[in-house]
Amino acid sequence: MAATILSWETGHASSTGRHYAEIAVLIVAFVKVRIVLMEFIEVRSAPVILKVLAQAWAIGVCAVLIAIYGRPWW
Amino acid sequence: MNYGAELHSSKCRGCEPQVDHVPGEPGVWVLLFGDMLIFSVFFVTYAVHRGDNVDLYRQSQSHLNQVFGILNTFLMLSSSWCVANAVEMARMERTASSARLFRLGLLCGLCFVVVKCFEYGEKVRYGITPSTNEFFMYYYLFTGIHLMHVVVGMAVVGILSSYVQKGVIDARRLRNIESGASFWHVVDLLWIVLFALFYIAV
Repeated sequence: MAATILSWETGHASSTGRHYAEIAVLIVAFVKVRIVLMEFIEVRSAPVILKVLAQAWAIGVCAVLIAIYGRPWW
Repeated sequence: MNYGAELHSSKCRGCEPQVDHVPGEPGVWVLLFGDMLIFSVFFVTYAVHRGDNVDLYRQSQSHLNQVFGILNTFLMLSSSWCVANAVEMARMERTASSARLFRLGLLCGLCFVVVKCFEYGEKVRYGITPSTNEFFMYYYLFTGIHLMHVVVGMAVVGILSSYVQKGVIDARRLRNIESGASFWHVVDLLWIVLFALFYIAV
Protein backbone atom coordinates (compact mmCIF):
# COMPACT_ATOMS: atom_id res chain seq x y z
CA MET A 1 0.00 0.00 0.00
CA ALA A 2 2.87 2.33 0.87
CA ALA A 3 4.38 1.77 -2.57
CA THR A 4 1.04 2.66 -4.20
CA ILE A 5 0.88 5.94 -2.26
CA LEU A 6 4.56 6.61 -2.93
CA SER A 7 3.98 6.43 -6.68
CA TRP A 8 1.12 8.97 -6.44
CA GLU A 9 3.17 11.72 -8.12
CA THR A 10 2.28 15.35 -8.57
CA GLY A 11 3.25 17.21 -11.73
CA HIS A 12 6.81 18.39 -12.19
CA ALA A 13 7.68 21.69 -13.82
CA SER A 14 10.58 20.51 -15.96
CA SER A 15 10.30 17.85 -18.67
CA THR A 16 13.42 16.11 -17.31
CA GLY A 17 11.90 16.01 -13.84
CA ARG A 18 8.73 14.60 -15.37
CA HIS A 19 10.75 11.93 -17.17
CA TYR A 20 12.50 10.85 -13.98
CA ALA A 21 9.16 10.79 -12.18
CA GLU A 22 7.72 8.49 -14.88
CA ILE A 23 10.68 6.14 -14.47
CA ALA A 24 10.23 6.21 -10.68
CA VAL A 25 6.57 5.25 -11.13
CA LEU A 26 7.56 2.26 -13.30
CA ILE A 27 10.23 1.13 -10.84
CA VAL A 28 7.83 1.36 -7.89
CA ALA A 29 5.25 -0.64 -9.89
CA PHE A 30 7.72 -3.43 -10.55
CA VAL A 31 8.92 -3.41 -6.94
CA LYS A 32 5.26 -4.09 -6.06
CA VAL A 33 5.13 -6.80 -8.74
CA ARG A 34 8.20 -8.44 -7.19
CA ILE A 35 6.62 -8.30 -3.74
CA VAL A 36 3.49 -10.04 -5.07
CA LEU A 37 5.69 -12.66 -6.76
CA MET A 38 7.86 -13.31 -3.71
CA GLU A 39 5.37 -12.97 -0.86
CA PHE A 40 1.93 -13.84 -2.25
CA ILE A 41 2.83 -16.34 -4.96
CA GLU A 42 5.79 -17.55 -2.80
CA VAL A 43 8.18 -17.71 -5.73
CA ARG A 44 10.99 -17.21 -3.18
CA SER A 45 10.60 -20.85 -2.12
CA ALA A 46 10.10 -22.11 -5.67
CA PRO A 47 12.63 -24.06 -7.75
CA VAL A 48 15.42 -21.95 -9.23
CA ILE A 49 14.00 -22.08 -12.77
CA LEU A 50 10.68 -20.55 -11.68
CA LYS A 51 12.41 -17.94 -9.53
CA VAL A 52 14.68 -16.95 -12.41
CA LEU A 53 11.88 -16.81 -15.01
CA ALA A 54 9.55 -14.79 -12.78
CA GLN A 55 12.19 -12.25 -11.80
CA ALA A 56 13.58 -12.09 -15.34
CA TRP A 57 10.08 -11.25 -16.57
CA ALA A 58 9.67 -8.46 -14.00
CA ILE A 59 13.13 -6.98 -14.53
CA GLY A 60 13.00 -7.40 -18.31
CA VAL A 61 9.60 -5.80 -18.81
CA CYS A 62 10.49 -2.96 -16.42
CA ALA A 63 13.76 -2.29 -18.25
CA VAL A 64 12.11 -2.36 -21.68
CA LEU A 65 9.37 0.04 -20.56
CA ILE A 66 11.91 2.44 -19.02
CA ALA A 67 13.91 2.34 -22.26
CA ILE A 68 10.82 3.05 -24.37
CA TYR A 69 9.69 5.87 -22.07
CA GLY A 70 13.16 7.35 -22.46
CA ARG A 71 12.96 7.34 -26.28
CA PRO A 72 12.47 11.13 -26.69
CA TRP A 73 15.80 11.53 -24.90
CA TRP A 74 17.85 9.22 -27.15
CA MET B 1 -0.13 -43.02 -1.47
CA ASN B 2 1.35 -41.38 1.56
CA TYR B 3 1.20 -37.62 1.36
CA GLY B 4 1.83 -37.36 5.07
CA ALA B 5 5.56 -36.93 4.83
CA GLU B 6 5.31 -34.21 2.23
CA LEU B 7 2.71 -32.29 4.23
CA HIS B 8 4.31 -32.75 7.63
CA SER B 9 6.80 -29.94 7.23
CA SER B 10 4.02 -27.46 6.41
CA LYS B 11 1.67 -28.54 9.21
CA CYS B 12 2.61 -25.87 11.73
CA ARG B 13 1.44 -22.36 12.44
CA GLY B 14 3.20 -19.81 10.25
CA CYS B 15 5.38 -22.40 8.54
CA GLU B 16 6.92 -21.58 5.20
CA PRO B 17 6.33 -24.07 2.39
CA GLN B 18 9.26 -26.37 1.81
CA VAL B 19 12.12 -25.12 -0.38
CA ASP B 20 11.92 -25.85 -4.14
CA HIS B 21 8.15 -25.90 -3.91
CA VAL B 22 6.26 -25.02 -7.08
CA PRO B 23 3.22 -22.96 -6.05
CA GLY B 24 0.64 -25.10 -7.84
CA GLU B 25 0.83 -27.43 -10.82
CA PRO B 26 3.89 -26.83 -13.03
CA GLY B 27 1.62 -27.05 -16.09
CA VAL B 28 -0.44 -24.12 -14.81
CA TRP B 29 2.72 -22.03 -14.72
CA VAL B 30 3.17 -22.57 -18.47
CA LEU B 31 -0.24 -20.89 -18.90
CA LEU B 32 0.53 -18.15 -16.37
CA PHE B 33 3.84 -17.25 -17.99
CA GLY B 34 2.12 -17.28 -21.38
CA ASP B 35 -0.44 -14.83 -20.05
CA MET B 36 2.27 -12.63 -18.53
CA LEU B 37 4.10 -12.60 -21.87
CA ILE B 38 0.95 -11.60 -23.74
CA PHE B 39 0.40 -8.74 -21.33
CA SER B 40 4.06 -7.76 -21.76
CA VAL B 41 3.33 -7.30 -25.46
CA PHE B 42 0.34 -5.12 -24.46
CA PHE B 43 2.51 -3.02 -22.15
CA VAL B 44 5.25 -2.53 -24.74
CA THR B 45 2.76 -1.76 -27.53
CA TYR B 46 1.15 0.91 -25.36
CA ALA B 47 4.53 2.40 -24.41
CA VAL B 48 5.75 2.52 -28.02
CA HIS B 49 2.61 4.26 -29.28
CA ARG B 50 2.67 6.57 -26.29
CA GLY B 51 6.18 7.63 -27.30
CA ASP B 52 4.86 8.73 -30.69
CA ASN B 53 2.29 11.06 -29.13
CA VAL B 54 3.20 11.78 -25.53
CA ASP B 55 1.16 14.98 -25.29
CA LEU B 56 -2.06 13.29 -26.43
CA TYR B 57 -1.50 10.44 -23.95
CA ARG B 58 -0.76 12.75 -21.03
CA GLN B 59 -3.72 14.94 -21.84
CA SER B 60 -6.04 11.92 -22.17
CA GLN B 61 -4.66 10.41 -18.98
CA SER B 62 -5.88 13.46 -17.07
CA HIS B 63 -9.46 12.36 -17.90
CA LEU B 64 -9.05 9.07 -16.05
CA ASN B 65 -10.56 8.89 -12.59
CA GLN B 66 -7.50 8.35 -10.41
CA VAL B 67 -9.64 7.75 -7.33
CA PHE B 68 -11.15 4.71 -9.06
CA GLY B 69 -7.68 3.60 -10.09
CA ILE B 70 -6.27 3.80 -6.56
CA LEU B 71 -9.39 2.18 -5.11
CA ASN B 72 -9.09 -0.71 -7.56
CA THR B 73 -5.40 -1.15 -6.76
CA PHE B 74 -6.29 -1.28 -3.05
CA LEU B 75 -9.02 -3.86 -3.79
CA MET B 76 -6.74 -6.03 -5.93
CA LEU B 77 -3.93 -6.02 -3.35
CA SER B 78 -6.39 -6.72 -0.53
CA SER B 79 -7.97 -9.62 -2.37
CA SER B 80 -4.53 -11.06 -3.14
CA TRP B 81 -3.62 -10.76 0.54
CA CYS B 82 -6.83 -12.62 1.47
CA VAL B 83 -6.14 -15.38 -1.06
CA ALA B 84 -2.51 -15.76 0.06
CA ASN B 85 -3.64 -16.13 3.66
CA ALA B 86 -6.41 -18.51 2.60
CA VAL B 87 -3.73 -20.78 1.10
CA GLU B 88 -1.73 -20.56 4.32
CA MET B 89 -4.84 -21.52 6.32
CA ALA B 90 -5.42 -24.47 3.98
CA ARG B 91 -1.83 -25.64 4.60
CA MET B 92 -2.56 -25.57 8.31
CA GLU B 93 -5.81 -27.50 7.61
CA ARG B 94 -7.83 -24.62 9.02
CA THR B 95 -10.30 -25.10 6.21
CA ALA B 96 -13.12 -22.97 7.64
CA SER B 97 -10.80 -19.96 7.99
CA SER B 98 -9.42 -20.66 4.54
CA ALA B 99 -12.91 -20.70 3.00
CA ARG B 100 -13.78 -17.43 4.75
CA LEU B 101 -10.63 -15.75 3.43
CA PHE B 102 -11.30 -17.00 -0.12
CA ARG B 103 -14.81 -15.56 0.11
CA LEU B 104 -13.43 -12.23 1.38
CA GLY B 105 -10.97 -12.19 -1.52
CA LEU B 106 -13.87 -12.92 -3.85
CA LEU B 107 -15.81 -10.00 -2.37
CA CYS B 108 -12.87 -7.67 -3.03
CA GLY B 109 -12.79 -8.94 -6.60
CA LEU B 110 -16.49 -8.26 -6.97
CA CYS B 111 -15.99 -4.71 -5.68
CA PHE B 112 -13.22 -4.27 -8.27
CA VAL B 113 -15.66 -5.24 -11.03
CA VAL B 114 -18.33 -2.87 -9.67
CA VAL B 115 -15.85 0.02 -9.53
CA LYS B 116 -14.78 -0.73 -13.10
CA CYS B 117 -18.40 -0.67 -14.26
CA PHE B 118 -18.88 2.72 -12.60
CA GLU B 119 -15.66 3.92 -14.18
CA TYR B 120 -16.51 2.81 -17.70
CA GLY B 121 -20.05 4.13 -17.28
CA GLU B 122 -18.76 7.54 -16.19
CA LYS B 123 -16.46 7.70 -19.23
CA VAL B 124 -19.18 6.72 -21.67
CA ARG B 125 -21.53 9.34 -20.20
CA TYR B 126 -18.86 11.96 -20.91
CA GLY B 127 -18.63 10.67 -24.45
CA ILE B 128 -15.25 8.95 -23.96
CA THR B 129 -15.30 5.64 -25.81
CA PRO B 130 -12.68 3.30 -27.35
CA SER B 131 -12.91 5.27 -30.59
CA THR B 132 -12.22 8.65 -28.93
CA ASN B 133 -8.48 8.42 -29.47
CA GLU B 134 -5.56 5.96 -29.38
CA PHE B 135 -4.98 6.28 -25.61
CA PHE B 136 -8.60 5.43 -24.82
CA MET B 137 -8.59 2.58 -27.31
CA TYR B 138 -5.69 1.00 -25.40
CA TYR B 139 -7.26 1.91 -22.05
CA TYR B 140 -10.56 0.17 -22.81
CA LEU B 141 -8.88 -2.75 -24.60
CA PHE B 142 -6.24 -3.65 -22.02
CA THR B 143 -8.24 -2.90 -18.87
CA GLY B 144 -11.17 -4.72 -20.49
CA ILE B 145 -9.09 -7.84 -21.19
CA HIS B 146 -7.77 -7.61 -17.63
CA LEU B 147 -11.36 -7.32 -16.36
CA MET B 148 -12.22 -10.59 -18.14
CA HIS B 149 -9.30 -12.17 -16.29
CA VAL B 150 -10.73 -10.80 -13.03
CA VAL B 151 -14.10 -12.40 -13.75
CA VAL B 152 -12.48 -15.77 -14.54
CA GLY B 153 -10.31 -15.39 -11.44
CA MET B 154 -13.39 -14.72 -9.32
CA ALA B 155 -14.90 -17.98 -10.54
CA VAL B 156 -11.67 -19.78 -9.62
CA VAL B 157 -11.54 -18.20 -6.14
CA GLY B 158 -15.24 -18.95 -5.64
CA ILE B 159 -14.63 -22.61 -6.50
CA LEU B 160 -11.63 -22.70 -4.14
CA SER B 161 -13.76 -21.41 -1.26
CA SER B 162 -15.86 -24.57 -1.36
CA TYR B 163 -13.13 -26.91 -2.71
CA VAL B 164 -10.99 -26.26 0.38
CA GLN B 165 -13.68 -27.75 2.59
CA LYS B 166 -14.55 -30.70 0.34
CA GLY B 167 -12.08 -33.21 1.72
CA VAL B 168 -8.75 -33.92 3.36
CA ILE B 169 -6.04 -31.39 2.56
CA ASP B 170 -3.59 -33.72 0.89
CA ALA B 171 -0.72 -32.68 -1.38
CA ARG B 172 -2.85 -32.89 -4.53
CA ARG B 173 -5.63 -30.71 -3.09
CA LEU B 174 -3.09 -28.20 -1.84
CA ARG B 175 -1.44 -28.07 -5.26
CA ASN B 176 -4.80 -27.34 -6.90
CA ILE B 177 -5.51 -24.60 -4.37
CA GLU B 178 -2.11 -23.05 -5.00
CA SER B 179 -2.68 -23.18 -8.78
CA GLY B 180 -5.93 -21.23 -8.48
CA ALA B 181 -4.40 -18.77 -6.04
CA SER B 182 -1.40 -18.21 -8.34
CA PHE B 183 -3.73 -17.30 -11.20
CA TRP B 184 -5.41 -14.70 -8.98
CA HIS B 185 -2.07 -13.24 -7.91
CA VAL B 186 -0.96 -12.95 -11.54
CA VAL B 187 -4.18 -11.04 -12.29
CA ASP B 188 -3.25 -8.76 -9.37
CA LEU B 189 0.29 -8.09 -10.54
CA LEU B 190 -0.84 -7.39 -14.10
CA TRP B 191 -3.22 -4.76 -12.70
CA ILE B 192 -0.32 -3.16 -10.78
CA VAL B 193 1.45 -2.54 -14.12
CA LEU B 194 -1.73 -1.35 -15.87
CA PHE B 195 -2.37 1.07 -13.01
CA ALA B 196 1.14 2.50 -13.34
CA LEU B 197 0.94 2.83 -17.14
CA PHE B 198 -2.55 4.30 -17.43
CA TYR B 199 -3.53 5.99 -14.19
CA ILE B 200 -0.48 7.61 -12.64
CA ALA B 201 -0.26 11.05 -14.18
CA VAL B 202 3.03 12.85 -13.85
